[in-house]
Amino acid sequence: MADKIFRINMTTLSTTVEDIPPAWAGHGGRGLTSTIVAAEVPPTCHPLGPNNKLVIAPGLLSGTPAANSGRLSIGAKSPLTGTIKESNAGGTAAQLLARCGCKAIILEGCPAGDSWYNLAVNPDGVTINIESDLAGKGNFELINTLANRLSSKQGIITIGLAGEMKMTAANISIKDPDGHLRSAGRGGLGAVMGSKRVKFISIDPKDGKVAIADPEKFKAANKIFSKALVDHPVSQGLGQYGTNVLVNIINESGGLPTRNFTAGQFAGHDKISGETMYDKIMERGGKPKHGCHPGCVIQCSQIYNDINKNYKTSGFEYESIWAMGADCGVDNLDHIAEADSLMDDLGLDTIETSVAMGVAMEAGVLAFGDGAGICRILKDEVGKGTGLGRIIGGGAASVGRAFGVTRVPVVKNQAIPAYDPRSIKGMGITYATSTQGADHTMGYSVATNILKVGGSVDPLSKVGQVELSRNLQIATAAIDSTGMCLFIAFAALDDTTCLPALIDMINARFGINLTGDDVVNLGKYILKTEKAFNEAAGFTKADDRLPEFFNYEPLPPHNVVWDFTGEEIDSFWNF
Amino acid sequence: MTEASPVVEIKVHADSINRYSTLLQMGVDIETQGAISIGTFLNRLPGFTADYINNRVQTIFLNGSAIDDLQKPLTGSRPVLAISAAMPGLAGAIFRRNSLHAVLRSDGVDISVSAGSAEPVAVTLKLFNMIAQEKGADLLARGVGCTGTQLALFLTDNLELISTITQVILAGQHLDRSDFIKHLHRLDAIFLIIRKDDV
Ligand code: SF4
Repeated sequence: MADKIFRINMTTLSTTVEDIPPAWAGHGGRGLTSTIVAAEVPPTCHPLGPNNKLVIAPGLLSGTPAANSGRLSIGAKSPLTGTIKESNAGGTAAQLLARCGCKAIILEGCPAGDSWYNLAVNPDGVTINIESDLAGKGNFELINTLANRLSSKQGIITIGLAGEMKMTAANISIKDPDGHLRSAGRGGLGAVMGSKRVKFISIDPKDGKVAIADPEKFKAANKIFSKALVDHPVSQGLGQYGTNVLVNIINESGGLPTRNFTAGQFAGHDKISGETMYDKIMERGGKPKHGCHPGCVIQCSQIYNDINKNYKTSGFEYESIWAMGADCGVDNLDHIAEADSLMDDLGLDTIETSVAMGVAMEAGVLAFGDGAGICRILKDEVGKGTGLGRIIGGGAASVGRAFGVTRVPVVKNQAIPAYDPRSIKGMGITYATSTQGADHTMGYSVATNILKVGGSVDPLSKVGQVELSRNLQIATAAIDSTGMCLFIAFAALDDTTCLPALIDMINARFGINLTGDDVVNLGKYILKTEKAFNEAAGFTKADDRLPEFFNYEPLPPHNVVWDFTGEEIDSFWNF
Repeated sequence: MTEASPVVEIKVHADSINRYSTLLQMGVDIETQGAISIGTFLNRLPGFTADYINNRVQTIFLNGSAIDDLQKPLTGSRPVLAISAAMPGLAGAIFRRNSLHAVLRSDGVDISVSAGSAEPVAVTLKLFNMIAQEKGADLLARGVGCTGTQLALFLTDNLELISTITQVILAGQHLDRSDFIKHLHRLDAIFLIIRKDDV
């Protein structure tokens, strides 16, 4: 069965199943969401209006047995940044959509009236149903209710109250194999889904399977690929401590943004570190190692229990813990876990919302270090949609504007995550030049050496450093199209068998002959497509800049400032 | 300095010894001869063979600056040395020893290379993640310097560990495990030894 596009028009409440246009056939994941958004969404449209479209696409390898291939890409014009956006997450939905023969869901239009809807996807297409029970409910209640209404194997893509209220920090959540949630967090895509009045999407693949053109070649390549992932030392650390292993390291470097980016080290780092978290997980009967989707061989996720040994949260990531921890001055891991759980239930991006809290703390809304206060504001203000709640749910820039704060760590309106660009300038180049606002995942260390995009300019010059960052972003964009989790990057960087095995799997899946050059060209095409959309939406070079306080506020303890000129940053696009 | 401090010797159940390795993330003092290289210093720690240092110790910070060259001398009157396994993310790659991404570190964060004096110095050593798990127990058995408050805070944050303690000796005197924490706060510096109780 050839893959199809499943289109849902919420204005007419109609659905179609369409053949894939030839120009889209070679794409998956981010490559496909950005291609479709660029082709079909008017760049100047209102992101929450009928002309924006939410595009949901599994990766090229999703639904196959390829290790770590279950990431789902979601794209649209972002209501937070105004740029094109792709955000991806684990969970079971990508694999199940692929098994439905669904290359992408395109959700367009906006319905008249106040009804909420759910969408049921299966291999035959999509049905639209009025949803009267679960509108107004949090994500956890929704997942629990659907556990009785649907078969447990079905995938679920959902928004919480933040998405319903069209807050621009709203995320889209995806059910994981244990019935917990993973989130496509960044860019406010939950608000786009909310604007279409779709509360959730269920996915039932029935007995659908993904066809593989050359199963033997695929199996052999997957064996090599999985071994490279499992054997890599970074994978071992991730499996034990999760991404939160980074707290101590980034703190030691002086690049851990603390108390709304006023310092680079946090005195309470050891109370929120991956090492401390691991001890608490073991002591409380949690799980240090857990996969966000079936087939993950690294398992950087975890189950964190509260002090009474009851489940509290999972997928407790470094960037979330940093944001609620060091950036808000909170050194109590249980308060951070409680806030993480509240944000998952409300359907909020933990980075955007927590950085917004840090700005609010600077404004005096609550004191730095007040973890209980953060939880109270999430429940009583954001969850209830009060004025303050909507300002915080609008993200860091929204809080800065409302309270007249000048130290607002955003690029293109999106909160800067857990690495201070003054102290780690490579991250700063990514934040400034990313097509999607500040995002640490846009430029991973993906095998630039093996893809032979290592750079031709003196790497110690600023232009050489920008060139290296560009090549990282090109490689990352290509990997984001496969459905692969970005943590394959380390094995792909160090083990020369890993990336060729990944390309072999794509070739075996589709019966094609991609080369490393094709992968590089795919990454370049994605970046240029996204940039063209942004330019048509009104973005210029002046938007590729870090906030000015990074230029004049030295960051303790190293007292460094951001010192790249606009011209140096603009050389990023010389390709 | 550290060996002259009051000795606190703790014996714990063998299966809980790795929990105590987490104490090392806060930094402990190790006395050494000054002006030696980072590599030589590490090599003198228990279990840090040349092979282990070359293959496992992938991230090193000296006084907050990422280090590539193990021949760099320990600098400063109180050098702070933090060591870790290979780390994830672009930032992890940037800080990794001899990484091709090292050029993306910030200028001005590097340390000066000065030979320093050969007088003994106390190095504040921080062991993170896998390194603490793999080598922490041997280091604690050999003994490290820290403050009484540091140990007290660690135990107060991890009260469940008290039940794993089988013996506490402070400056030669046996203490009751249930209330020895109160004695720690008045001690500025201690020499801490934590061993497995093999009984
Ligand atoms: S390594 Fe982590 S993010 Fe990647 S697929 Fe596994 S659990 Fe998900």
